[in-house]
Amino acid sequence: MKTKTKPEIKSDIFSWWLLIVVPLVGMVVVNLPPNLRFISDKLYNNSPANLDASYRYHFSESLRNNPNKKEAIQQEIAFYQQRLAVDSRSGLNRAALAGSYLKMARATGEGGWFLLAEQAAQRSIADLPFDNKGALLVLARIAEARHDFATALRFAKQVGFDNEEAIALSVTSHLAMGKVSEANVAAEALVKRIPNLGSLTLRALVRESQGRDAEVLQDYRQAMVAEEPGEVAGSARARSLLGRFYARRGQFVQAKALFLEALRLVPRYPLALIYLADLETRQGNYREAEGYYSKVSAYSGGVETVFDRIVDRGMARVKDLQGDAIESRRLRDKAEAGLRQEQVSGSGGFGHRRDLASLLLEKGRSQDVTEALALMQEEVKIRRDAVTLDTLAWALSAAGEWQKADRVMAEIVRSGIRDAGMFYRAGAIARTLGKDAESRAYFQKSKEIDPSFDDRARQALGLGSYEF
Amino acid sequence: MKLTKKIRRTILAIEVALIALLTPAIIVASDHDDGEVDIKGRAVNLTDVFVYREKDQNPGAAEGDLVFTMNSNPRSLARFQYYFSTTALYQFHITQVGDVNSTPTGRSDIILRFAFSPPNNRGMQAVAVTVIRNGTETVAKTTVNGGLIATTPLNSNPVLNTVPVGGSNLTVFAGLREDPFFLDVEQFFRARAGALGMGPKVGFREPNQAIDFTKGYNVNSIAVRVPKAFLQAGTGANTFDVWSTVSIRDGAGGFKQFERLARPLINEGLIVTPDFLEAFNNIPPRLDLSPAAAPVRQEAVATLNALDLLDGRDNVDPNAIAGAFLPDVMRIDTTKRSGYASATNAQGSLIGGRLPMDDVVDITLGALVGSPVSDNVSYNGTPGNPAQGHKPLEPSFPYLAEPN
Repeated sequence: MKTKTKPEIKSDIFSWWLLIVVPLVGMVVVNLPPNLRFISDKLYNNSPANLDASYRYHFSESLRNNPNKKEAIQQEIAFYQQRLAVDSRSGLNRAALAGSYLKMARATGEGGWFLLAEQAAQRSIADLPFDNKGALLVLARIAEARHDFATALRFAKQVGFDNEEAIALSVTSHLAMGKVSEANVAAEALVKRIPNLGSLTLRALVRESQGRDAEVLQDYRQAMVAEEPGEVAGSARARSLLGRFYARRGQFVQAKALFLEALRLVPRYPLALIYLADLETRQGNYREAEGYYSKVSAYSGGVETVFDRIVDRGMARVKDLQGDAIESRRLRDKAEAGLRQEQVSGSGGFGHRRDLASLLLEKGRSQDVTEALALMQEEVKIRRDAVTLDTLAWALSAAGEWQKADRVMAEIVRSGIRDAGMFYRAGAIARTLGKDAESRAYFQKSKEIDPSFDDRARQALGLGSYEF
Repeated sequence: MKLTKKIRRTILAIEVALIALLTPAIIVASDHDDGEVDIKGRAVNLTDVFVYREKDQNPGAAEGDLVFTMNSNPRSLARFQYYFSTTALYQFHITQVGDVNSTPTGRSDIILRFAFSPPNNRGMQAVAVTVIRNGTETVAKTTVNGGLIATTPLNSNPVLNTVPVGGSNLTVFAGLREDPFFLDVEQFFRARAGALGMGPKVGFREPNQAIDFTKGYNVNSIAVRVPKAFLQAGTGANTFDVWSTVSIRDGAGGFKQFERLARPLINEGLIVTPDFLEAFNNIPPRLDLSPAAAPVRQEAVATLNALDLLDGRDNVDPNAIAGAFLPDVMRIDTTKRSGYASATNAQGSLIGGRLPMDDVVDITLGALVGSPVSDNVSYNGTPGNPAQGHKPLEPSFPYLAEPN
């Protein structure tokens, strides 16, 4: 009897259990996707609380539909490859493919895509030597990435400086060459032509290099009014650059909010992650900084990217500040090996001379200073923007060539740029030369630009501490 | 309480079925971003304009209705959701023409303006339709049913909005469609370059080799069905000049014209110098014949002269052709069958509007060269040539094929 009834009872209990659990599980399964969508929508719709209202992204509702950027570009590449399978001599399709490779290069930071883009653009021009602006612009952008600005401008000229992309290239190349007036003329022409997110962001960069802070903010605000749905990367880039602008002026809360907003738009955006990590370092939040740097590397999936050296150097700086000299040295050695490898391998030759020089100066050994100075003396033959000149001044002062360093800093100051670190360096150099009044004025200017410019910031820039 | 196996299975089956039935369908649209700052926003780039009597596209359509179509966002890739600009104004300009043989005045008697809101989480944008007559604006933001005028997102059935405005009901569609244009673009460039002495002299490719460059692409399309009476507004005009523009914010609180398009191949086909093209884009048609536009006209005539030689004969008066094509408007005589080559006026201007499948390239080249010339590409394509052939047009408004 018992042996008969037990299985029946068990069977009934199991039946009831099934009848209760199945609908419950079913309801959860049914309701999970819409709820997940609701939750994700809520997340997407939430800009950082501290973000200035005028910097909020206007198209949050459409964010949920964004595909993975790499996958989207991959699809684009496949589309053009398919077209080329039908007509392998199509210059226009190959130019479009080159453009897609270039997008992938920018999105991933993987150097191999630059080379593919270059080869495709060159072949495109061979197949269609006229009416082929797309291929010329790809070659121009690649030349610019190599810091071969003369070649970049030559290609842009071939396209014609009435073409928006060519004008944009004129802005960025002239900025890098330190020809701020020419960059300004081009930026004004571009904004006059089409005052949109891209052109206004470029003009903001030019104005930032001239120290026209109020106008910089005006441009970014106008850029964000003009932004369109479907250009998320541009929107994220604009906010990252604006965040960097705020960070350089010690306005960390707004800077961080902007970086987080950029990451809300493009969740793995390396530029925003790196700027955020730098910001956390400045504020002494080393664990957070390491976390952001790690994300940059994690997202590349182990593939070598142009961001690797930046991450290694950033992490090394964090370790320095934490007092972990051994780990710091290991990371700098790793970064150095990578940068040297890039110098000799010719893998695109994407101009990391300045990075190597900065790294060598950070290491601070006398034998490294000589090399760093030699590297920078070569670099300034092609690039004379404020950051490059500042690195040269750093190398010159490290080599004890204070007069020359002073002259370089004077050139930076004349450009109008407002950068606390640069003014502090100018002050330090002036003080070494015994120009105390000038030195004081520089230090004061540095504080005025960024009131939070402290020892940690100076250490990160390889500057000493000067007390008056 | 005991349950038989059969009952248990039945209940379970019903539950599973109910769960399956209640599971909401998930439609995920995608948003394509090109990964870099877009300097010249493609959303404000015009590709084509079509104007035709609807009954000539669809014999079952109502008498007297016209269809206007304006395409933008060139080279939109398959399966990507693109949006209309939320800061620009997309406009059809219409002149009521009393004399079909008259020179176009470029006067905007009526403007149909479309402005778009930010997209919602389904990728839909709300549309504001404005009608401007004699400086008076009438704005419509809702359909006859009181709902918002909405775009059609990707992977959705076409949203056809019936919009009551200016005393008439307009039917408005806005969304992605397959790009209906067809041309062996690259070979056209080669032929033009050869004609202008910039490259080797070449003709067009054979039908089995000619490549339709726009095959496989989508465009953002605005289509509007308009009763002729709405356009006539009591004037009795049966002929209309039509052109499209896109105006963008000028940064000073206003708008400036950024793009203009009417006839295919006129601005980008005849004007080679980019700053002339920009100048052409920034002026209204009434200035096409002005002294200020003389350099632009001269270039168009020079290109015409060069193209005329494609058939080896100098047999076209470029100034006469320029007169037939400029000012650049799409003229439609609604008393005649629509079609790009269906009718000309005394000046040699084409006055039949344009249907989606019209071979405008062959028609234009024929006019420019003075003898029949074909790029050997057609809408339906050449059998056996995989590089040609668009999807069939839809049988009803907005007619353009579903997006790729």
